[in-house]
Amino acid sequence: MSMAQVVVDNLSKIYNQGQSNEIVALDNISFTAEKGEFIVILGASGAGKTTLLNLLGGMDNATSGSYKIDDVEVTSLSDSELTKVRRDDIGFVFQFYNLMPNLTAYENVMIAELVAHGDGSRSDTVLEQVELKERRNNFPSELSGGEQQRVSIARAIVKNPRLLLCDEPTGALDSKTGASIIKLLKKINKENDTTVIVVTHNANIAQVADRVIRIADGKIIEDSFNEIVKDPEEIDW
Amino acid sequence: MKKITLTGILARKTTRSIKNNWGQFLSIILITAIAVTLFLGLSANAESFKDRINRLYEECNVADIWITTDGESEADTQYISSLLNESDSMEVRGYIPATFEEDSAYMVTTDVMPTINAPYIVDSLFDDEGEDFFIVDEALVGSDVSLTGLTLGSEVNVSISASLLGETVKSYLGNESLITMTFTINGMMEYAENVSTSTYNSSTFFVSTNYFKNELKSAISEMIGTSSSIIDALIDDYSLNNQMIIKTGKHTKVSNLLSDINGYYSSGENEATLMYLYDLDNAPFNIIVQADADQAVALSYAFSFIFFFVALLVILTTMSQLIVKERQEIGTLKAIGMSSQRIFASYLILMLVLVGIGLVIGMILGPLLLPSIMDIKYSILYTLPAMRYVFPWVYFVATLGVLVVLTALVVYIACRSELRLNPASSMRPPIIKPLRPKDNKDKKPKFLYFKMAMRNIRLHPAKSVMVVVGILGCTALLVCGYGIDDTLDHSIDYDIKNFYNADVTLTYSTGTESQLELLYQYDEIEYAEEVASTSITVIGENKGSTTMMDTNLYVLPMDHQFQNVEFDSGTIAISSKVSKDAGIDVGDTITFETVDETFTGTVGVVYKTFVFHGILVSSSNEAYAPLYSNISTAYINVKDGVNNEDFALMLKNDLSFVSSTTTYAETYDYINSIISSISFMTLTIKIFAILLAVVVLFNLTYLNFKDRTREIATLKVTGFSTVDIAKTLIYESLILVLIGAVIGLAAGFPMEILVLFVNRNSLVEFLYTVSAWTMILSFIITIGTAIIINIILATRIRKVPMVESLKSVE
Repeated sequence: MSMAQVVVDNLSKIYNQGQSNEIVALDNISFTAEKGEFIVILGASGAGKTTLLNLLGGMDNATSGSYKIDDVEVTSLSDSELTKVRRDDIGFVFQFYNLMPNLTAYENVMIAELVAHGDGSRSDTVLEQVELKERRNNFPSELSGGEQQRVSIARAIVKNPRLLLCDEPTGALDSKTGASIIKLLKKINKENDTTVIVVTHNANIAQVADRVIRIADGKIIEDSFNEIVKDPEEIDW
Repeated sequence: MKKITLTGILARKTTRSIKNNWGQFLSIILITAIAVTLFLGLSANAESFKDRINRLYEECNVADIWITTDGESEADTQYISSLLNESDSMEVRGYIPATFEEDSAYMVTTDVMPTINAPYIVDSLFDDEGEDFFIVDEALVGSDVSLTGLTLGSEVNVSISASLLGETVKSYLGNESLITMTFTINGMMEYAENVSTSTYNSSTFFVSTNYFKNELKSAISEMIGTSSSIIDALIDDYSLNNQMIIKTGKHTKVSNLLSDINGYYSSGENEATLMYLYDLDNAPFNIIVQADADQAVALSYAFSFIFFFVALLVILTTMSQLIVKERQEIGTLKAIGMSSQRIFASYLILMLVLVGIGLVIGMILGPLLLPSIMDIKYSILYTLPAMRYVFPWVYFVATLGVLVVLTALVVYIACRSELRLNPASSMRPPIIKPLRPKDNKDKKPKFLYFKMAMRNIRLHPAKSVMVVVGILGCTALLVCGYGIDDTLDHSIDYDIKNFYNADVTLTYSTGTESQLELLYQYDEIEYAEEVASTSITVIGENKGSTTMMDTNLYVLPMDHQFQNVEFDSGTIAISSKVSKDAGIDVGDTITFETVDETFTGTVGVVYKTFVFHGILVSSSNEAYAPLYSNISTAYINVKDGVNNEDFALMLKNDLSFVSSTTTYAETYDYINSIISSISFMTLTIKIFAILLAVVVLFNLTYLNFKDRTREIATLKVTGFSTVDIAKTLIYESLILVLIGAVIGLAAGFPMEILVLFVNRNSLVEFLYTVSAWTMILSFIITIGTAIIINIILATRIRKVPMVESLKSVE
């Protein structure tokens, strides 16, 4: 089982600080994600969702505040230590997949496994998990949007991360395909006990989450638990 | 199943990247191939040329020291022998000016086949070493005689001056000054002293002493109508030997031995008069061929540096474009936990593979092509053993090392700012400071495409600078190549006009007094004057240190006409090369020494010249009058209708004090030959410069085109015509090309000076110039190349698919 507890304490991100075009993307965000939770962060475009996810993924540096994964303060780590965290502990799913165009589906997954010092044995397994084993030798340009996103998810989970972060995973997909992706993420959350945080503007997705955090203008405006967590199949997409 | 490693996956990514973007990477391969072809080709040429010279010298066991006197002296020979070590060897031979058919030549007579400076026999009719021989060079070329038709067994006429045999024999011949003998060629050779085949260079042939004397006796008998036992006895007793040649062993320092010999002949204890004394470095046949060999080495560095520099620029440009294009990929690799070092390594390997392909192409083509091209010229100028394939290993290893290091540096420069970013910043689009257009209320936009071009230039300053620098390099190279031709033409024309304008030049034997009265007995002569010259050491001062340099002193007659340098007879004139090398200027008083005397003089004039270097003094100055007692050269202008070559030959045969003659045409050829390798190289360099321009422009225009496929598709959808779209691309390219070309024109002349400086040798001082036509031509070629490439690429606009180009990520 790979689960992580995430504690965010007064995290802020300010672009162009002190300049005339200063932007406060995140303003003292605080919350805690328990191990194995499926959290959806909801907000309109420009609310700060992607900025928050980038900070949680160790892909950007906070201006102030702190953030811990299982008591390890990520915000104070050096660049090389952050690389290690990204490699071993975090899986990231991008809105536009970000697959390597010159690598096949299998190679895209394999590269992430090998970077994390894996032996290459899990790649086929996770491709099967995302129902894409028969397309392993296709290049991204030969896959549909949904298939590319599945490969992206497979790449993110092949190293058995403790924390899976998804930035608008269905943003570039039609509703039916999007639904299948959310179903897959829920499956991973349940079967692997991975803590999953999904950032989206789609309120329908929030219905399948254990917890919903709404942010606007860089601040949390609501943090609530879903009393009834719906199955993706029950949602009217 | 075969285990895949991370390195293996990255290797696959690299290979597929090359395959899918071959157009973008082709320029790197081509430019590296061109640079390596040039460098390794020129290096291989230099090595091959030196190899051929060394092989010829080894074949012939070429001597280290030549001592030419006015006759044989047993005492001199014994003394010189006493100076030698056990491992040294010496031979004595006759080295006599002669006429071979109607060509000036030198006849070498030896009792037996020599072992030092020996002919390398390529074909012969004689087997026994004791047999008589008459051996000619298989590449002997003369103005009237070509070797075509002369083979083994051919009979040839050889003439010598009767005065060489002494007054007694000459008295039997009456007015006949020339003795003509007939020999049968029974040997063909390659010979070191015949290495240069130009017409000014007299060829050497070999004849055994016995054969020569027998034919001489026959010829004289025929001339006087009867045989004479007295003449036969005189000839039998007569020694033709006037030259000692020495081959030194490992333990003998040539310079020390030379100095000892020089000291002997300066001491007054010698019997025979010394005519010439030189070592291999100063041997006339060796000077020019070695100068060519040195130039071949220098050229391989001078031009190649420029091509390598431009190659690195192309790599930098392409790499920078690639990094910008693959920002998302780089960010994603960082996001999944790949270290910056490994990402850098993957790009480094990509570039090294491309550079490696270019290196392999260059290392194959260069040593195969360039030596063969240069051999076209060498085969005209020199007689050398056949060219062997030489691979310049040392240069190759150096090239490999430099390429790896510089490629790594360039990739690092291109990558470093991107790799420093965190993954989120990498995946964000690059921040471009927006350019605020001027407020154009109610005005129709004018010069729209020009404005678009200027904005694009300002938006991508790094890429724009690289285009400018690349074109600058190309234009400068063209100006350099054509400018070198201008300099060579100007230098030669200047010297011919100002110093070498005599119809016929006679070189006197050492110790000859003025023969002007005798010369004027020839009706053919319009005007003649005599000049004395000798080697001197000039003592000067350069930046606080005493300088000593060897040069020539020319003592000119009053009212001299052939050397166009005006100076007061109370002063001296020095050439600009002497002035620079010895640190002497107008107004300075200098000291110069001959073998046995010291003189001083005040510099009145510094004159410029291409090859006529030295110090000029006037014979009317009492201080230098003693130097005018022994004349070395007579300059003659003949009357209209007189053939220079025929008259020169006649004088050579008539006058015993004339050791050699040169006509105006031969002088021109001689000067040309000194710099012939440079002028030949400029043609090759111009071709490479154009190739360079093509590759650089293709690379940059192609990248621009690829970069803007989406923009082009958008313009097409919006309704812009192909011509309008082409303007948006072409204007930007042409503006940058124009800037680069203008700066390149200015940089071309300094580059020319630099290249010629690298190729300097002790014989010449270039009179640098560049013509307006060179500037115009270089500009036209650069702009023309740019226009052609842009037009070719612009035709691809039609083929840009609007739908596919405008698709989003999916």
